[in-house]
Amino acid sequence: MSRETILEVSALNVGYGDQVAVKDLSFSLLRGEILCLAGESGCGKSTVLKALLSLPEVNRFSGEVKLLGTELSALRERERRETCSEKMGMVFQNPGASFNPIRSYRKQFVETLKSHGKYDKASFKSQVEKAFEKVELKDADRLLSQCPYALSGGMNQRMALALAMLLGQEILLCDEPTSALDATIALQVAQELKRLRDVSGISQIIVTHNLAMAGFLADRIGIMQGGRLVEMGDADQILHRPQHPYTRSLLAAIPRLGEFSGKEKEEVRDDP
Amino acid sequence: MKRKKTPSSRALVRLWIFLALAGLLVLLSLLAPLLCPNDPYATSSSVMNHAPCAEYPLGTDRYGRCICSRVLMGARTSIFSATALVAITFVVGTILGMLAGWFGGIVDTIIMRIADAFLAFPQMVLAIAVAGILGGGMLNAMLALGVMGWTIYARLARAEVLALKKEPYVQAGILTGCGPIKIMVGTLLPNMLGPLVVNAATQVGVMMIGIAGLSFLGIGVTEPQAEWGSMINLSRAYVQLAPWAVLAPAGATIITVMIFNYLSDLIRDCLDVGVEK
Amino acid sequence: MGRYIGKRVLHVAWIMLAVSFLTFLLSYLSPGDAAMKKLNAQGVAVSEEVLEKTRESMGLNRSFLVQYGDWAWHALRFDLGTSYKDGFPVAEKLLKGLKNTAMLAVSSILLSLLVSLPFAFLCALKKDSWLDHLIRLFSFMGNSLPNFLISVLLVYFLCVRAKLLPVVANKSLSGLILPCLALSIPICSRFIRQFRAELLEQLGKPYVAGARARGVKSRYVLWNVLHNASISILTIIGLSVGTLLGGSVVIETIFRWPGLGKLAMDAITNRDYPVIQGFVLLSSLIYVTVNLITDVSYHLIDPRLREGEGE
Repeated sequence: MSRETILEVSALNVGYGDQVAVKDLSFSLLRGEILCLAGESGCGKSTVLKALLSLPEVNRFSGEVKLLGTELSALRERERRETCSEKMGMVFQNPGASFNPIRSYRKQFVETLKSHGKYDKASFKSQVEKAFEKVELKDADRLLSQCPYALSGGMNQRMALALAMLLGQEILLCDEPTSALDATIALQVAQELKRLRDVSGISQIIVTHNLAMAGFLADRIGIMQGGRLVEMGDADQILHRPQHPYTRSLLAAIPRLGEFSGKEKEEVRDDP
Repeated sequence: MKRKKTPSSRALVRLWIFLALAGLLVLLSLLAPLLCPNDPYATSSSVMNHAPCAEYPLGTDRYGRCICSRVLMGARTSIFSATALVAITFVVGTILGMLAGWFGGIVDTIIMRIADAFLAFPQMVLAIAVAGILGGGMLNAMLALGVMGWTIYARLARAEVLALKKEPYVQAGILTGCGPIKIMVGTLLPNMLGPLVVNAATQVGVMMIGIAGLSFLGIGVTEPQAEWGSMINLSRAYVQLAPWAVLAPAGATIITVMIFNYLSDLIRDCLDVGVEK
Repeated sequence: MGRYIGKRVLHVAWIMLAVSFLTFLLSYLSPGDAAMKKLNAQGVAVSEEVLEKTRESMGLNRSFLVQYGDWAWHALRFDLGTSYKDGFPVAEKLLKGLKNTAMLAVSSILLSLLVSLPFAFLCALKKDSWLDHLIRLFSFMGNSLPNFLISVLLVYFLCVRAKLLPVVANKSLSGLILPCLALSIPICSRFIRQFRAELLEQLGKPYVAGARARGVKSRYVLWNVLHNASISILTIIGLSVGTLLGGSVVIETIFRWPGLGKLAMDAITNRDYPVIQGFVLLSSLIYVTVNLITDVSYHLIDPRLREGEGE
């Protein structure tokens, strides 16, 4: 079954100021695919997301990004940012902080919709209800009247997803979406992300340092080290048959219940 | 947790330059009696409102007194009294604040209630009332401004002590039986000085303006003592005839206050601390 | 919310008690004999008999606390005694002055806000640009100048040299311009510095980055920033009322604006202690009330505070 490529990144070099943080990055994303970028802190994975959104603090030195067939570097800056934020939504690690904590969600949702020219007063209510259904949220009216500070981390994350649904975005860029949540809630959110892809076909690039979460969510996993993509492949292959030595060391470093040293794991891994 | 960044070399250079400038001003005011070209108190009916000339570099006022000399002597009054006032309020306020923060309970309540009561008065209103009622003079003016001035340091010191009390090294000191005074002076004080010093530096300019303002109104430093505020007040009726009589002390005030204010900004930048608004 | 307001009002009441006590104490401690001062203010020739009679009628032979209690009790019923100088009720004089000072104060605050908010936004958005530095330079200068100096310089340059405006204020609009400018310049300068700092802090917060990443238009982002910054902004405005009250004494004296400040200064010159006392009491009451209002308004802006009550 061939799916269309909705995002294509070629030889991308981006960074902050004069420093290059992401070197020579190339990968593509299919529609309906969940891709995880994993690695340790500082490897540049969050920078990739910011670069894809064409945020002003990230400098693009060279390389190309094709979004839904459109060459992004060909667009003017404002157009580029509008296109990016229209098609791609960002989900942050700390959802309560990425929204204004003391203003109601309703006001913030309306402002975001208006900014994308997608606000219609008459159909707002029904649109919201449809979007909330997709993320399995009930009681849309009450939730919209709440301010982010009053909701839990898991709820806020769901509200962020609901907004992405509302905006009709096609790619979800998630920056450590579960790292700030308790284990059970993190699982719920992860399940939600998976369900969203299954139900509405939304593609996702999820950045995480948690390889177990990557294993649960991803179709494909890309391992990054020092700004470079060192290995990319199907989730199954990366986790059980890693080729690159760095990938192997990352996996070996994960403590597993019942085991007490990394050595045992390494022996297990080497089996074909 | 506040992140402390080291000040850039440019900021440090600027800090030293302005410290030197401020030091120069203090030196000038110290040496004022030696530098005056004429007697600052000598009146002369023959040279009233005289334009600047060789003998009177900045001209004379309506009583024929040399403005240059009076500006120099005024520097002494302004700078000294402002720094003395800040020093006194700093010490008193810091001590009271530390006591309130350390001992808590009834001590804290009493001290802070008193501070609250004083803070209810708009500062200049109280200063004007106190100076006005007690009559003029340098000491009354200083008292008028100082009666509220200590509250800034008290509140800040108290807040700092409350925060530092929880630090492990302070707890360790208590556990090993160090007396409160030893802890307060030896451990707490050095760690609190940053924001306190920044506030003190800002207050120097504020106090200078306050004293000048009171003197301008006639309830601070009074004639014939030389003070920039009262000089401006005296000569403003004659500003058309003798603008230098107003512009010279005005210029001196502007320059001095700006130097001290900028210095306090630089100190704050270098220490990277917040200042109470 | 109601409980909170109740607590704050109680706090204000206690503060005003302390303020009235200190104010009365101030007059009481002043050098000289109160009866003597009253007679001097009226220009009456003083003899031992007259002095004794005046002391009796003024109740000066009672103990301090009784005198204070008496004065405070009357003050609660808006009776602040009568002026030493002309015998008019102090409360009446203060009210008349208050109207004029309010006119001056409100126009100064409005002018300052009108100028400082846009400039503060500009500076915060274009941090470290040449524009930012220029505006900060001007606001630094404005902040360093004493208000009486600004007034004198304004008079010199606008009235004496350029002959644009009248020196002595009349109550018309043109008479308002100079004193209003003189009051506004230091306040506006302080506003610019402090608003800029607050706006910069808000602009660095994650919700701004989040909104921008989501493609929210600038005007909505800035509106959110302004909303969150308004607590600080209101605090700063509230505190500036104190500066206005103090500054009014100087400005109104220079420009002869018939407000509270001029009233106070005249009272000081004439040693009219009831008026001075009334002035201090009224100023403090205004200051404390304004800050109470800003305190309460925080709860309307930041719903998180509403839940922290009862502490």
